[in-house]
Amino acid sequence: MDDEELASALSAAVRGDPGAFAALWQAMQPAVLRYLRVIVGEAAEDVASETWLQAARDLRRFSGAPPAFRVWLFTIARNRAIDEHRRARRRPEEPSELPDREVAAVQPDVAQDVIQKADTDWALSMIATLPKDQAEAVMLRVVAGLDVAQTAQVLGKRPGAVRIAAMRGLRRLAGHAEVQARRRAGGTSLDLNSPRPEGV
Amino acid sequence: MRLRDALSHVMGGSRRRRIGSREVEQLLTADPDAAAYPGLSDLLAAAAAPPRPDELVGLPAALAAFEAAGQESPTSVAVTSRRRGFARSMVVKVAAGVAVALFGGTALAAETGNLPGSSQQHAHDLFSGLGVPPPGASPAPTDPPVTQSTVMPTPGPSAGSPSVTPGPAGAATRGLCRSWQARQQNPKKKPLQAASLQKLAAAAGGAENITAFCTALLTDDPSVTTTPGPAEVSPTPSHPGKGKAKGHSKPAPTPHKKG
Repeated sequence: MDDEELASALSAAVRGDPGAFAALWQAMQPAVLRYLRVIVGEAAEDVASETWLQAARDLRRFSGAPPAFRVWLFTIARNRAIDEHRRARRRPEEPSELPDREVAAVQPDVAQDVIQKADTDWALSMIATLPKDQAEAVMLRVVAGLDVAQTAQVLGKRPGAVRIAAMRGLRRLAGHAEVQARRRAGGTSLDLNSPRPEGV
Repeated sequence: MRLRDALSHVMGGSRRRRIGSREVEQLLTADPDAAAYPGLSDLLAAAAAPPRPDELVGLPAALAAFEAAGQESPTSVAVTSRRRGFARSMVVKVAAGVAVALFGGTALAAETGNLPGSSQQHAHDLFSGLGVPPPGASPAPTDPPVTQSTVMPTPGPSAGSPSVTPGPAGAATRGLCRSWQARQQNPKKKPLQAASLQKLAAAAGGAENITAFCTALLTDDPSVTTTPGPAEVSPTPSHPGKGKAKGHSKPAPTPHKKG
């Protein structure tokens, strides 16, 4: 969703239009969920729904343009994630061996989906191996589509710190054996010129 | 071996240099020049790949919260009327105070219902509008309107959602559904306009039902699918799985990555 479309959905949602809110949700939920998967793992879906509950409650009081909205939403997500970390720490040694998400439980018939899912899951799990500040910087830049200043705002850091965290994260990923190995296993035709969706 | 290859690839590679800040920016913004780091580009592309259906869960709860938040206005009305109740009891007390001055304490006693029968009746006649109870009434309910006004009848949010009608609404709705599904598969696709989304939500009996409704509509209804449907609004291929919109959408990232 580009900023213009996001802007119209945003202003309608602020006025209370549920359809517009659904459109915002649809546009932002995947990025929110992936960001959370990297920073809270299995609890991501729960934290994502807490994030949306708060956003739903407070959205009518929001004023600002789409970039500010992204910052606002990811800040909520991050705060809810921090809450979740606190809760988890308080929890007495709970066996955290939740069953792995059932792969391809939804729409199992589309093979391409499965491959793509595996790719995305793999990528997120690789990013999750980074130190947390690096992982967050990479996710907010790449998946949430925030720029340096916006990322810094969400993380409560200086832009310089965000730049460095992102750079270190990418270096570490580039040097990761699995990234290289996977790339080689992947074969030849790398469509490197393919632009990615710059977040949402 | 592979690890070694990998390492040499990264570190010793002739044309490969350490990722600098410019490269970082290229990689993070998916600049084609980032091609110098294919493994990393792929990883980042996969992390930002189009959403999958199983990531789009939870809309009903979010929508319910959104609509509930919209209904908070009655609550604020209740708050004001509670305040009004408070003001009212203040009036009683002030009046009582005045009366204390005038009648030397009888009115105060009256407010709490502690006068002998006839006097209490009299006080009630005088101050009934302000909540002085008649004789015999227990002193408690000085302020009945408060409880009444807090129980505001809240309009049911979406009590009777229309039943799912996959009927001949046909082409247009199916077009909207295609757009919805395409959009779910690929965030680069145009999202539905708010108006269309509302139409679709109405047809589905609620925005939270859209996905299920569309799945049903587009798969289970052979009678509808036979119509050529030129009226389709859908600018997107109905087969999002293969979705490959030319131009800005990324060529499917999959073929080179079986692993």
